[in-house]
Amino acid sequence: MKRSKLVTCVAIASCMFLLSDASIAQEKSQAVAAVHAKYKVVFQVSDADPKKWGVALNNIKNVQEDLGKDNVTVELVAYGPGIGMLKFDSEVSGRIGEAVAAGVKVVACENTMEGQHLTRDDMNPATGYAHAGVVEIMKLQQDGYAYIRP
Amino acid sequence: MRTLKLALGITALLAAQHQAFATNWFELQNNEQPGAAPYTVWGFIQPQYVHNEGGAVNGIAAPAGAKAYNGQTALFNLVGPDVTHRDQLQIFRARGGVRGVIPGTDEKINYFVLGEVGNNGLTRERHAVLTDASVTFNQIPGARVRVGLGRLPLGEEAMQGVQIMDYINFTGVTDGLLNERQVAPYSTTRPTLPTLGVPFKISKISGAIAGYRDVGVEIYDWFRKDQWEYAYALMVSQGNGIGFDNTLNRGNHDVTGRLQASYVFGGKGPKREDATAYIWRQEGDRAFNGTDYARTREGVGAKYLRNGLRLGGEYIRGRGMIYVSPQPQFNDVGGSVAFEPVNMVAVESSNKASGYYLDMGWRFNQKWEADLRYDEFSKLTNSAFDERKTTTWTLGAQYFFSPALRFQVNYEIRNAKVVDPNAAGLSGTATQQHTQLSNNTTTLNTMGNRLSAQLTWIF
Repeated sequence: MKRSKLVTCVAIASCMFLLSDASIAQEKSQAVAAVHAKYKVVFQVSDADPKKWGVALNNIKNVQEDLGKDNVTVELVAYGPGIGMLKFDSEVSGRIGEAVAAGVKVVACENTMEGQHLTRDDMNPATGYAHAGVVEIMKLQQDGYAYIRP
Repeated sequence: MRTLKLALGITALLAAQHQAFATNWFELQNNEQPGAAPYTVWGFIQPQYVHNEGGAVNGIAAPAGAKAYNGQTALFNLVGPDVTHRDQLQIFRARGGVRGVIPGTDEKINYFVLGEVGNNGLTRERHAVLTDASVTFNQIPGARVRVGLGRLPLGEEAMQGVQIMDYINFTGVTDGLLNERQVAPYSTTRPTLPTLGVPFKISKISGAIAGYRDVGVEIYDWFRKDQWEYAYALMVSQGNGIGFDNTLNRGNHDVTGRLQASYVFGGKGPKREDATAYIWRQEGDRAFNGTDYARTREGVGAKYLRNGLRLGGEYIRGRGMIYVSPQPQFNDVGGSVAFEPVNMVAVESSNKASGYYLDMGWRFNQKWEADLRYDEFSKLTNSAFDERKTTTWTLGAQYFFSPALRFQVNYEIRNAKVVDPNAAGLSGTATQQHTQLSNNTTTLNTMGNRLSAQLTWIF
């Protein structure tokens, strides 16, 4: 009888241990997910150099691969001489489409477009728009986005 | 003269052997006749001349990347696989190999090896490739097992040997959906044409065209009862075409099955007189840029051959990994302005394509046969903006010098169109969408008719 009680106690203790272990793991996973959800980054592209456009897109790809696509919010803002990156026939037009498909928000500055007499018909179809590129970057930084200018 | 007679005699004998090999494709391609030799060397050569009537494209107004192709001839008006000329004479296929039973196995194990040195999609990267290399085990009643590189149990055109095909070219639907282009992700630092409809993946064709073949294990057999014959085949394969390894595409795999029933009127060989109905399905995955995408192909068809009259037809459809086309559909003109031609692929399983063909032939005397075929192929039927349809009427004639030597001539009346020129895209502005469809229509309108002539010598 005593032996049977002992076995029952050990079994209950084991279950509690396993349950607590599982809940700890769950909490850890939630905590990691919560931390990851905080990753936010904005890339500024304001140079006319296609090599720099390529670097920006490579950086974005690396960020997504390293942190996990779902754990980081990425936005790219192009303005000034960098607006050429988001033209319909830019050298990186194919990669822009791929980046947007991978969850990156790509934004063109409408002030720059107006200054260069560009309409949305001239722009990459995957592009989004902001009235002022620099203001968009300011707002994002205020919202906790990390800032990178390749 | 005596030597010539001897050579002709041997040729006729070998040709007769091939004729008598089998009565269905599974048996024909995977098995040997009772009493077959340990090895039989055989093969065939197909010199071919093709003339395309289609001309250059003009009238593309914008954008600059597309406009750069005005004055160029679209790829579909050039002779493949080189796609450099509208007219070309070439040794399209030249295959040779050996087949036989393995001695000491009581004829229970046979093999089949065939190589290709012609100029076609199989040899686009290497001058010589193996198209078939398999061993068949016939020990288990009702379940023969073929291991190695060989044909997939797909549609009728895909299964039949090209040396006895009644037409020079495959139909659009068989070539487009079943003759798989192996693609690899591609990134470029030149402008590419943005997609405004279904988000295609940019790729480059990698390796040989699959040629309806794969490396794997096929279980099959056939059963005869009176004049009826029933056959089945199930093949598990690595989804890599004639490539021997899968190091590049580890996620690829396929399961392909086919069922068929025939009522045999008489005769034997590939021209056996029968009425056959069949159904087949292929299901698998393709790895692309780190993600596995579902790929399905299926079809149903029937054929009838008796007293020189042939009637046939097949419906084929596919989902996922739909090879769209090169875009723009031209050879690269280079420069920093022109869009770089890249191979577009619609990878997601929501993408569909389908088509069918109807075929008839009449062998009105021992030497001559007349052929007529109509085929249709619609790509991206799930997207009004992206759907393109090609239709082809093929008028053909065949002259049989002997069972081993045949001349064919085909004239194809070809059309291609944007199905809905006013369709709305999924991204971009209305002007961009309209411009792209208009450019596509301008390009497709240059598709010309095609004249082909081919000699087939089986040795």
